[in-house]
Amino acid sequence: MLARTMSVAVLGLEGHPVEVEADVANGLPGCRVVGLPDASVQESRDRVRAAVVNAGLTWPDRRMTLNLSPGEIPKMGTAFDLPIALAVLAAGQSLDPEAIRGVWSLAELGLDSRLRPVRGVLTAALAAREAGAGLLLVAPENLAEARLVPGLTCRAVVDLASALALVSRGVGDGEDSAVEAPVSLPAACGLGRSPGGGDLAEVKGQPLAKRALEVAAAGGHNLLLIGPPGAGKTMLARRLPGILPPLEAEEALTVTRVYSAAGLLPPGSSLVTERPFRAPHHSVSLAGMVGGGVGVAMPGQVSLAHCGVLFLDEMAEFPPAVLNALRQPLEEGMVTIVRSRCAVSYPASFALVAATNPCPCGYLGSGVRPCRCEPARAAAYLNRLSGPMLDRIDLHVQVGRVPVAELTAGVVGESSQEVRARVMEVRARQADRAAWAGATTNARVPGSRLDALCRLGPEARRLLSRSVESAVLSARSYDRVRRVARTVADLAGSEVVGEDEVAEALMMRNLDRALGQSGG
Amino acid sequence: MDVQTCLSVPPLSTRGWDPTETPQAEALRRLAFLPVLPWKTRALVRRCGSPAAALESVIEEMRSRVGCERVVANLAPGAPGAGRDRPGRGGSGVRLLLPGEPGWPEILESLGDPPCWLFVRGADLGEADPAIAVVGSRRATSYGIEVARRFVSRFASAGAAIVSGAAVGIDAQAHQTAIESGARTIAVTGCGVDVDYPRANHELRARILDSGGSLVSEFRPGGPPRKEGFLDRNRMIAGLCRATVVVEAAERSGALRTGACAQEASRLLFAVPGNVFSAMSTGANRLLADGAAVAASPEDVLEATGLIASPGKPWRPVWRSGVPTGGPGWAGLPENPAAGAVVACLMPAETLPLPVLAERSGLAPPTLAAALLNLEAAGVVRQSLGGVTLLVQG
Repeated sequence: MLARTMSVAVLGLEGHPVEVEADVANGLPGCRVVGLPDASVQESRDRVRAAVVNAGLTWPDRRMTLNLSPGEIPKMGTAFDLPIALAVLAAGQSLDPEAIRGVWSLAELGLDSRLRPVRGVLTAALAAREAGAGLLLVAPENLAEARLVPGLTCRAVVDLASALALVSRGVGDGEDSAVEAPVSLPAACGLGRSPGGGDLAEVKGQPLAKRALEVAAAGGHNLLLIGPPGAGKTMLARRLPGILPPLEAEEALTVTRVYSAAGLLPPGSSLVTERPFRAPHHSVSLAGMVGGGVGVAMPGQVSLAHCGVLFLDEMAEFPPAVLNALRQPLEEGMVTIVRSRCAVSYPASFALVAATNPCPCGYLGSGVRPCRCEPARAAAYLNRLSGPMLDRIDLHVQVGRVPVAELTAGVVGESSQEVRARVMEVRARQADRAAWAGATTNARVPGSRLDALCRLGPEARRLLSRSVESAVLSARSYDRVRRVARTVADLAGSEVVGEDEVAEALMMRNLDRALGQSGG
Repeated sequence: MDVQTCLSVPPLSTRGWDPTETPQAEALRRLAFLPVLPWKTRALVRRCGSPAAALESVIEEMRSRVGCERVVANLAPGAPGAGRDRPGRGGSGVRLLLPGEPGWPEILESLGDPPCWLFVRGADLGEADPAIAVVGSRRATSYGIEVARRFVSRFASAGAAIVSGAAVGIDAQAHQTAIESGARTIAVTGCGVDVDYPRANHELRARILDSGGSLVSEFRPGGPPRKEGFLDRNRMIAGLCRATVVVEAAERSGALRTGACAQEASRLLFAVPGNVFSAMSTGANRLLADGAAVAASPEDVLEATGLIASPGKPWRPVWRSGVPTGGPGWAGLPENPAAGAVVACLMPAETLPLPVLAERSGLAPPTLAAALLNLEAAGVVRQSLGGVTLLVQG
């Protein structure tokens, strides 16, 4: 007796429809799973058997073959428990095989036959809809996530018995009014909600650093904060997601899929509505940063920070290999991880905020206390950062320690909402230019379009060429300064980049000066 | 203090032995290359009465040890290869100079425990008089660097040789300015004169030699830097000079040790007063309180050492009631209120970190950036990673 049902194999952010076939034939009692299952799928045999028996149903004690087709796609995880159980029961004639034919299901089974949530449900649901699925069965914790896909009827079932009851009633009958219509994305996004991570108004003083955050948010620039311990580098970085524009529906969906693939979505939650903020410790491994793992690679920190902020505290302490691995995501906005069994791509388009001490003791130029480092070591410390990595960071800004008097003073600065409004305005202007500039943010405008995009006033041009001549600016950072100056001009609402904008851009590239001097 | 009394040089014979006698000189040529700290060898010579006796006791000691036969053979009088023109490693032109030989700086004899030999690279030391030592912290502030620059360039124009310790910070600036001003400069190193230490001054050492200066040390060629070695070095810096100027020193600084040696050797000791808020000035200010002479201008030092009769052009402070006077690009700037506000936050030759400047001036970042760039273009301030420095004009 043969029975078929459907499920989805999730590889990274791709879902592949999988047909689960069960065949019960005469022979010695036993069960074999074929179709490139990994160890966790092999285990599902035992789980499913216990669940079926504990649900009071009959496990066919005959020779049974389970096939997950197509056979060349690797299958892993526990999501095949439910479809396997349905197929086995249908093949064992506890259920009408026709009833499960068009049913898609994704859930792990407990030994007590309860359904448990699995990873990657959103990606799977999208793939199921693409393949024309009518009904998708998931665990209750996964329902909110699955319902984000319009045009797909999703149902949560508590245990195997209720799943059976549901499918044998038939897919199409509308008797169960508990089925809610799919939610609309913008509503779920909670657009316009106040962001987490603290408000910018809580940061006292630090006019330079706050300004740099605003410029970074407005132009999509990466940012390096240089300052002594306790200057508030982390506090500042945490507030960047709050002044970035709110997530768009498409972005929110992608972020949710990444988090779902990593198993980081809290049970019962639907959409990630806030821009993520990831701050890996500097002991992070290469695989932890870009993604990796046995079999199919899991998303790493760069992908979990997609559409949000990746914060690298103590950047100079990160292993060079890990920093170098950031180059592909910084350039392309995605990362491809190749493992022996398959290659997966994850999105990884994030705003990089790095923080570092200015020297090993941390107090060089802090004004708090004198630096205790050997001068040569202090210079060498920041030079460790130089090279291709620094080349991808547009803004380097010094952060000072705020005097206690200012910390206790009642002066309240601008709130994140006010800054965000300005940022959104500037981003809209950049989006208008996107067609001919080739990028939606100034930071990503290709060098060939920069001349047209960044029209310099006569004084600005003089100032820039003077800076290049006096070796304050390397030719390499020339383009970076122009991109930043473009954003500053956008914030000022001007189409032509003037002298003041270039002056400010130069001030926000402090390290050019320092490294230039120590180098020559 | 009278210049003549502090420079009265005792004759060589006060050592109790005559370094010009052949056996003593031969013994010194062997002792100098022993891998022992110089002050230990000096103590041995003092205890034994003469270098020859000291060498004899060393040989005696080595004989009693197993495995030292070759050392003994090399040390024994008449052994080939030892002594005379033994070159420094790598043929770097290191010469061994003994007391009484031509070029020996007589001024050293007035030290309590004068060196028994010197290793020299570069020019002879004979003409390096009058010499002034300019020393200070390795972690110099922009104020210290500026003071060293101005003082050394004035000393150079008065014809003084500049002696310092070849370290980074104030020392490096003193050598550097001396070379630029065409003065002789002598670097007393705390390790072998052919040792590349500190690395940061690799080029500076080459420039000192190129400019006709010298590198001097009691340490044998190839001798590595040792913590204890720098005290010997400081003593010799003070000993080579008529006057020692401590430019900038923190609470515990090697420059203070040089100052103490200068006082012990009855040399003139000057300290440059520093900002009382700066931790890097504590040591120099403490020296002033303890009786060092005030070096409020380079002329103070030159006059006391007898290099100039009376100050010609008086030293003028460049700061008056919160506004710098003069300067090439300054003329048009006070009309710009932002530039004025920036300058009002800064003290001459001192560096303020950029974030601190932003807070104190109260200027919005775009305004501040423009003001700083104008000031920098006009030569009023300089920006670096450490912060913004108000340059001293004139």
